[in-house]
Amino acid sequence: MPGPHVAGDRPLSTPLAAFWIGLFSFREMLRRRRLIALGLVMLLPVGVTLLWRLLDNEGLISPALWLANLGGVFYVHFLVALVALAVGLSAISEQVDEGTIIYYWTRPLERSAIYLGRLLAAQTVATVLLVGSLVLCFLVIVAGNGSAVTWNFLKLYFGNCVVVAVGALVYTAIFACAGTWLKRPMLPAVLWAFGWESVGTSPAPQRIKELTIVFHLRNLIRNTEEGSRSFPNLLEELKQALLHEEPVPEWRSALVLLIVLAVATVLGILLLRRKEIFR
Amino acid sequence: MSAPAGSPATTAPATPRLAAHRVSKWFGEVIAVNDCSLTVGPGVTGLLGLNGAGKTTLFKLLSGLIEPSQGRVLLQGKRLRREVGLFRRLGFCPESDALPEWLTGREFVALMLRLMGFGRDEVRRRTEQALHDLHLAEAGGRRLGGYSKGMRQKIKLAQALAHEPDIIFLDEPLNGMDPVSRREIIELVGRLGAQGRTVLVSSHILPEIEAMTRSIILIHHGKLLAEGDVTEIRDKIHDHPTIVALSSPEARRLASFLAGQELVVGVEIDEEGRVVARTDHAVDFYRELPGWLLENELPIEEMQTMDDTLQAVFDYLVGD
Repeated sequence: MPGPHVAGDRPLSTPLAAFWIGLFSFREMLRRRRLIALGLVMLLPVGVTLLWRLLDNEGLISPALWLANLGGVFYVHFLVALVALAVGLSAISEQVDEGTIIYYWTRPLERSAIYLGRLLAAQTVATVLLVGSLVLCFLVIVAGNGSAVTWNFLKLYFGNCVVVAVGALVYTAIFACAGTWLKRPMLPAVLWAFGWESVGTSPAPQRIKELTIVFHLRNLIRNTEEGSRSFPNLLEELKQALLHEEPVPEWRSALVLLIVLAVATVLGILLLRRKEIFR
Repeated sequence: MSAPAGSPATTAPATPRLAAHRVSKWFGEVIAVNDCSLTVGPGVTGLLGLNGAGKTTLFKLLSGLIEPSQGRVLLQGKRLRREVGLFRRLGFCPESDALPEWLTGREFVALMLRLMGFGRDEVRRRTEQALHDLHLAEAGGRRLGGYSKGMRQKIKLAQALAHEPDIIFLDEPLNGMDPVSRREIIELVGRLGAQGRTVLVSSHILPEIEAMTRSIILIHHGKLLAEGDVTEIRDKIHDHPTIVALSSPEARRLASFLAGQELVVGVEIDEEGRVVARTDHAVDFYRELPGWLLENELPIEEMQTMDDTLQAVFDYLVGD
């Protein structure tokens, strides 16, 4: 009688296990009720963009400037953290609380595979929600306005999408780690996401702001041509000039984000390895 | 899972032993399991204990779900928690009712088989077999959220058994089952044990355990109180002599004879006219009795051991 593909007592390979867990977790997360609420929140910027198109007949705000402010302010400052918190915090903890994680734990799977599968599913959901919302905004911006679709505009748009996606990956990893670690992670997570992280967009000294995720995300958008015209970037440039601060190069922000993503993921795996449930 | 008769391929070859060596588990200052050493071999073994005795903790230690604070749990000499590949040989049916509600029964079993490393065709075949054996084939397309308690219990069993594990952990397996299903599961457990698989059943309902096995592990206040066959354990409880009732047309002669035997510590005739003998060495008594009866031409119509039951053993050991 044919046995499993993996012979002997070796665990299922981490990539394969993470794939199957990720696939089923993705389907499961799409069914959660909170996704409806998140979906409605994602339509908010689309609605606001529609309102701008309807009201700004004279073109006081160019499409590129609108997109730069939308992406650099509303998405990066607020929406990315919100979505990642809603999806990431429960990525692991929900299954532990429900007791269904026991079915993974009694399979020949490394716990790293379980964690990675759940995390990747959560990150995919967060990214799809956020980038999907940006796509809708893009469509509203360019609908009946073909002249707005310039090369620079497209660069700005795709740049925003990439940064928002990166933000989704990093924030979700952080919140998934927090959800695995803490028994009641919601309050600390909210305080961090909307309390501490707001330092990254304040007039605080750059050294302090570099300790936030949002600073580095905005730094990646800032250096695009139209992005530099957004209001927060103008304030930032003014502050740098007054305090003689050197702008942080893009590569450094990208590296910081990558390191945070890696550390949060590894920490989450280690925490899950040590976790025990007694239900 | 269901074994066609005479099919050697379904017998578990070289069944691995599960062993715990001086295992302890504490949570802060509370010692849940205290220095337990035991071996679980082929066949069905019942794990018994009152609430708070450490039964659940010991069960989870043996199944590799939690790490001991001290000591080791070994599966064929390997530490279970350190080699997760060993879980391929285990099947686990949890007590908790938690299930991924949005999956259908078929999808759930299939996912569990995928995570065991089976290919698509094998997943499909084993899924259908497991659902069929547990009479869930028709309900396989329904979401788990719509299952009754009994069906949920069966689907938990299905995912635990579909990959034909060598060692099976069943935590309160008969919870929520109707009488017909209970009988089916008891028979299934018996078949699994007869195949040479190691089945550990945890329950606080003694008649259920007794229906499945005579081999038990009894834990009380975190310590191993008894391990082995119920009769052998009973035989070692000298504070409470085993009570054997014999129906005989020559009750007085039988009673008089037994009263003179060294193995018998007390004899009386009860209201129903039965000779009730008490012995501290039940195993020896059963061995000698046929010879006594033949040599002395003492007829008996019926013999019954009054307290060689799991309940009695439990009461004597835990009650003390």
